[in-house]
Amino acid sequence: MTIEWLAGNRIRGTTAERPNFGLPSGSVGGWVELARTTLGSDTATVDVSSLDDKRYYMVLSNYNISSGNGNPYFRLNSDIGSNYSARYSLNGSEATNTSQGNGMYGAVAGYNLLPYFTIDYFANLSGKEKLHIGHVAHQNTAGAANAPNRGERHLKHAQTSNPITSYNLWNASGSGDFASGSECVVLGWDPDSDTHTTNFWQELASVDLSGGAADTLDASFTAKKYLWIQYFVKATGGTVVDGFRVGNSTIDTGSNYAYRRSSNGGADGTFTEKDVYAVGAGSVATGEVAMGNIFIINNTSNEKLMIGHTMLAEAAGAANAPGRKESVGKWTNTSNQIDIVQLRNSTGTGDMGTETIMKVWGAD
Amino acid sequence: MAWIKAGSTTLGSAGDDLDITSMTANKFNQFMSHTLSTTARNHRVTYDNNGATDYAWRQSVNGATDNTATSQQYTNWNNGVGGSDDAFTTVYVLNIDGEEKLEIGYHMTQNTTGATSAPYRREFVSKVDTTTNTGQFTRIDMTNSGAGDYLTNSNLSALGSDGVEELNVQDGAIYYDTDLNKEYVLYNNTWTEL
Repeated sequence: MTIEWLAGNRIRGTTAERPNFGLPSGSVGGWVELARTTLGSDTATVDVSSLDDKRYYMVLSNYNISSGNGNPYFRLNSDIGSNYSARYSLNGSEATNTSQGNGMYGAVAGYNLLPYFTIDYFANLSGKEKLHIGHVAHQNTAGAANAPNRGERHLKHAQTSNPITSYNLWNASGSGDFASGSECVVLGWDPDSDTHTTNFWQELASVDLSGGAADTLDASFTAKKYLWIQYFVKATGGTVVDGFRVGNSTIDTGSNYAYRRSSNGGADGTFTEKDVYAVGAGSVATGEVAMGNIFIINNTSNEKLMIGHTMLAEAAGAANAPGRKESVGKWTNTSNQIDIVQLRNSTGTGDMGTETIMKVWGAD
Repeated sequence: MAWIKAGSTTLGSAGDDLDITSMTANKFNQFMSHTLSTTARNHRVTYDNNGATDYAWRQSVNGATDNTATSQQYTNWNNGVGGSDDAFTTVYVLNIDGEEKLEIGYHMTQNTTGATSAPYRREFVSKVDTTTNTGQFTRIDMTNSGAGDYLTNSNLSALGSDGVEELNVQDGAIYYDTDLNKEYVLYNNTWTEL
């Protein structure tokens, strides 16, 4: 028989016809979950072990130390030898270290018990040093009066005998456990051996302004713990200053956002008690385009932490270099998950044009 | 839509070209490269074999003040941190028909082997204008302009956002299985028997 689509979101068919949710035969998916650890109680470490050997990893972590002195680091393969070196920028200040046994630490120096959200990428070959590119948002003191901290960190693990087999969060101060609920999710992707047709990142919403230029573009979706938003903006009829709002059921227009931002590599600025996360790359003039990439940890009872990278193409043509912004933001709601986001023209004189699009990817 | 493998190339022998020549076109892309080298390498990247002066970028090397380059014949993923070592790059790339193509990228190089040397890093944004090509690109060429080679096992990979799943059924859908005489409800890509 042929599958029948009935009223009321009902479908009728044979066992073989029951829809699968993967890509067509011959396709290979993107990032796929390999393993995760979610703490059910306060615990000294967060270890994700027995990882499949993949060329690339994407690691999503959110955690805090519950008491004592919080000083979280990550290591690989539980290696405590002096085999790590790093170059990193914390709130825009560059630093390096070498021959470290601790691994790599988070966004802020010193002890604290506040939440972190990290995105870590790794390149992994057994006989080669393991290379890392990572981004960090650290909540800082709760409330919109306090801008979050940000980290850009690049690590290498001088270990050339084995592939990455585990990712290990630990508290270098030795005092205090990771709080219950702290989590680390390891995704993998291998160009030569992967055949999966599934994805960790599911499309939650895809919206555009093809119906007409406007100052706002909203996307509603089923809430997920991890969100990845990508957007493209083209300005029309004046300037666009691309900003970002979120909410639960409705967009929060209150002064509940705080963020830290670097423009074109300049010193970080902090912005508190704002009604928008001004993630955008600047003032986009008519006909100019911009893009954004935002990751969010979306836990109900925590402030929502966001990592944003944006660029502005500036005037058309290769004679004009693009601009960029790096930022971290937070939405201070601690009672609901984000299930609606808004790309908006915050202070510009024009509209976001009909070419503007936004995609929301997510996963629990 | 769903993320898919848009293309990948892993070198079977040392060479200067890491190309994906028949890439699936996608609006949003994530490229990753992991190159292995022991002699000088320099990543020059073009799209659709376009070697015209259609490229411009902004970069910061090791956290230093930004600098820019305009009217270039390529975008460069490791400008300022070229070396003779292994390197890793992640790039978010926008590829929309009729628009300038945009990159936001992060690059790091190993530096001298061993933990006594800190890695180098580069942050960059780049664009390709529409003078020569306006459509979506379907090819990327990463060419080593250094004196050495990319070694065997060097890789360039592309993930794209525009894969199509077999069926688009929403959470909450009810499926009646005529073979088993059972009903299932869909939630989070899983059918559960009612």
